[in-house]
Amino acid sequence: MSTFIEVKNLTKVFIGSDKRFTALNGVSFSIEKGELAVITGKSGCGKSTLLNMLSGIDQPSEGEVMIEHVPIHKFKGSQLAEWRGKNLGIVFQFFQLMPTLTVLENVMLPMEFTNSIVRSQQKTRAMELLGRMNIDALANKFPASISGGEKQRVAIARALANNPNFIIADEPTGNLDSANTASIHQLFNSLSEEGKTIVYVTHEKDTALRYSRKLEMVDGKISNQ
Amino acid sequence: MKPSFKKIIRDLLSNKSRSFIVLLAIVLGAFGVSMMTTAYNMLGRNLSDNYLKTNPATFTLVVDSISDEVLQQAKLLPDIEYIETRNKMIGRVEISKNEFVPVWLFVVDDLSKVQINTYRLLSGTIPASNNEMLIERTGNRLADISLGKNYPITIPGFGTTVMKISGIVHDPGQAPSWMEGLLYGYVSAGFAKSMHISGIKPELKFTIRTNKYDIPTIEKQMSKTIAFLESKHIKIIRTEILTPGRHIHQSQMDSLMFLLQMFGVLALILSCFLIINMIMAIMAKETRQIGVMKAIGAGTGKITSIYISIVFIFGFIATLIALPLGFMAGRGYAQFVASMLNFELFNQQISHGVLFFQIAIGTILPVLVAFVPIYRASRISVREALSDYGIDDAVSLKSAHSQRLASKLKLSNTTLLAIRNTFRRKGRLVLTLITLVLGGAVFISAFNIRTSLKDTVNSRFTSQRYDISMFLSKGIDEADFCASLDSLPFVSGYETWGYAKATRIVVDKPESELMDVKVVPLQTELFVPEVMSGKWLSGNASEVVVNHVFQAKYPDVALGSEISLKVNGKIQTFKVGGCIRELFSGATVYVSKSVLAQWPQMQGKTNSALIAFKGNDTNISAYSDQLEQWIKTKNYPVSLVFRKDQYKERVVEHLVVITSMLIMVTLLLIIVGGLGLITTMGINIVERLRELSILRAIGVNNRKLYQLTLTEGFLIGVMSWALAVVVSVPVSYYLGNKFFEIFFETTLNFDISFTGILVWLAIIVVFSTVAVLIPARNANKQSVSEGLSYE
Repeated sequence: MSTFIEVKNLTKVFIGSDKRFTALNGVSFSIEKGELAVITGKSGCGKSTLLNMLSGIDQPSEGEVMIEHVPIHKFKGSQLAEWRGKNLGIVFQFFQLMPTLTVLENVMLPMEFTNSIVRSQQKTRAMELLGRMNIDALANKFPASISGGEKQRVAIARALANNPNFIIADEPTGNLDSANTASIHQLFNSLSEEGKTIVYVTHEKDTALRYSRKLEMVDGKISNQ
Repeated sequence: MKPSFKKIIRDLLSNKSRSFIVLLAIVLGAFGVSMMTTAYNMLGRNLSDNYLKTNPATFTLVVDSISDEVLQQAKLLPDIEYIETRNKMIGRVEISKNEFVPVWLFVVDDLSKVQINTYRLLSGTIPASNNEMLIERTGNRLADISLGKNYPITIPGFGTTVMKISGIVHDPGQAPSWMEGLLYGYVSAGFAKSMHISGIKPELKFTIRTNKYDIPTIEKQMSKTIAFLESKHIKIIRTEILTPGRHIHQSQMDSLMFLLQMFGVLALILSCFLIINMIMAIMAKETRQIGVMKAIGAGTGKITSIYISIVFIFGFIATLIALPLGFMAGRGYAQFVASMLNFELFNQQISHGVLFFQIAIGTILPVLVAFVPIYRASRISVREALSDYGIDDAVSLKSAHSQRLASKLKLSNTTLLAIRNTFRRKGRLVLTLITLVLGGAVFISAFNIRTSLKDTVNSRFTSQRYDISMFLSKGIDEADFCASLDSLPFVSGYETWGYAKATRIVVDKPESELMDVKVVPLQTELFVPEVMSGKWLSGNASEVVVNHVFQAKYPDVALGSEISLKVNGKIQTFKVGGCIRELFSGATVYVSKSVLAQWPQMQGKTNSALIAFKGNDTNISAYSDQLEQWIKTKNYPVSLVFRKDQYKERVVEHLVVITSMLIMVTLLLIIVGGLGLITTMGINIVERLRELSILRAIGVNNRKLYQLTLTEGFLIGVMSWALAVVVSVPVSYYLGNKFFEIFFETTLNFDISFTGILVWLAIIVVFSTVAVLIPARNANKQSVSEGLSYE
């Protein structure tokens, strides 16, 4: 196995009007390719900030973030967006689907943004992904008319649209019932088995116990790797 | 179709009311520009087309007399295209018993073959006998003149005859009869002979073949013609060159065009601010979606292009709607103005350039205007976009300050919160205020200009303390005339004046156009001049006072300048002692009655009078009737009787064109400004739906929420109103004066319209209530949980 994510001495400081807040304080760790790592911790411990650094959504104050040996901490706005589109799939807690696009179109949207898949094959690819998530029958429905579990499957299909090697999931089961939660975990496991590197953020201890690689965060630091 | 494009279309369709308002904002801007440019283009094209189609005279020579033989020889001069004699005399048509209307009678050699200053026969026939005449079409709005009917016509000093109206013509070279207060008639040379009319100096109209719009060429050609005529011993009495190709109403048109342009530009700017506001609203609502799109790979450029496409689609649809409507409204307005100024829209097309401009304004301008807010919103980082939207910690009004203010003014916490909310987003507040202030300032300016116009016109008439001004075709014994006037029981006062036509003589320059010389009694009480500079007449026979029209026409003449005037064939030099303002008048020189000592033919005589009636305005018609009866009985050679009340009515009609346009503009601005208010207020509420829900979650009831949002709406509305009042002063002062300078060659009596200010306040109050209540009601209808999950 080779190193997929390498984080060195990562620090993030937020400067408010009258005080500084250190969200990440010299965090260092690495994750191997195909690993499914769970980041846990209490609310305000810095999980989401770390996730933002790994996904290029935010930039560190200090330190390095190397994904597949690419220093994404050096990237700027549009470079990061392009990198994310081609290399990263994000699954949000609140699904964040485009309400005016159908399920199929939501999955096709990242393909359009990156042009990584030939236009004529985008629909076929999107249908394949929906089929894999067992929601191909919902292809022409709008997000408002499907359940939460179904929405999250659509979000996972969208995250896989450009066939990224890296998937980040931010509390993906936080809004789901236990049956849907189990099903989503299954999906992530199978993706990991296919070689996708997955970073999964949760504050649920039960979820963390399901996976072998755990990174526990306390007060902006990794307390347990 | 790409998913992003589908998103655009469905976003537009999913929020129909928002899309409708954005569309309406662009439609209104595009409509305003389309209407104004259409009217501008059509009027500009057709006015000169109409005028040039009449083949206006290049120059005119008034001669003592001329034989047919010399006239035929003059026609053979090189470069002379046509020559025609067009004598002009004033008469009076008795349209009903004792009701007279003045008529300019143009004596034409051959009524069926007019080649210079032509007219177009609209109905009837060309006169077949000396007792038939043509009448200009606008005459029927002044008097009940009908085709085929007979009317007595009096030519002062030459008797009365009955004339039949054989045809109605359109002469675009003449101002409308109903505006000028006189009819235009066209009679044959045989008519003048049959009436034994003598002493009228032939007016020779010339057109030249080449460079007919070039003054030096015209002057050169006129000099050659004069030299030829003088070689044939023809005495030249007067020469005249009118500005080539320029219609007599060009200045009215120019001023209307100026106002159209200015209000068009202001409406456009307002529309742009409205678009910016609404685009910011859309982008504010789309923040989270932008964040997600960026998270899944879309760059700033892609996001910008998606939203710019939306604006382009809005612009395209708006253009499809606004252009035909704007064209129809513009054409309607152009037709209205054309009918006011007595010309026709032969060409009802607009130029390709104007069409292209209108399309560009409708489609490209919104894109350009929207680019900056869209680009700025698209640049938002994913973290910022996905963070809590709708709750903003920034407070601009310092807490300590606001607390002190609140305790001093005994404000409730709700009011204090509303005040803080108002000032929380300074950028948004400034943009909202700019939109509202601009709309309000233009609205109030339109009212201010209307009021100022009205005041200025009224001041013109308050300086005239008489009811009737009367002109006679020749001087009559002043003492007899006064004695006769004294015997009239309904006359409360009168002044006998003198009147002559003159030209200004400048060395090495052609003679000027004709101007009026008014001979004024020293102690005039019926005329109160509005002295702009210098002083009024002192009784010195060599001193004159000119009016502002004279000064505008001859800018070389200043106070103290000497001017040479040719009056009654004699050149006299006067010193200019003052300048008075006199609206709706031609260039006029006022001279003291002592000058009559140098005019032997006028000694002891008078040819004009000002008469004031007893009682109030309701008696004017009856007294005028009795005055006409008196004129008939005394057989005075009266050529013109001007009733001040009728004249004022006509002046007001002159202004109808302007005021109607201002009304139209204000109506448009009510819509645009009101829309701006509603949308900007609405945006402020929509952006804070989550915050409102939080307030409700912590126990604030709906009534308090209404109070909060209404207070905020009123604060913004009233602030914008106060600023609009301030801004409207320089705007209306500049626009009004500029307009007046073009139209009347003088400045406006600037006045502020309190009606306009109050109407705008009422509009602001009504619209801000509606603007706030609708979104606030929608917010209150939502459950707290819906509001908190609002995206």
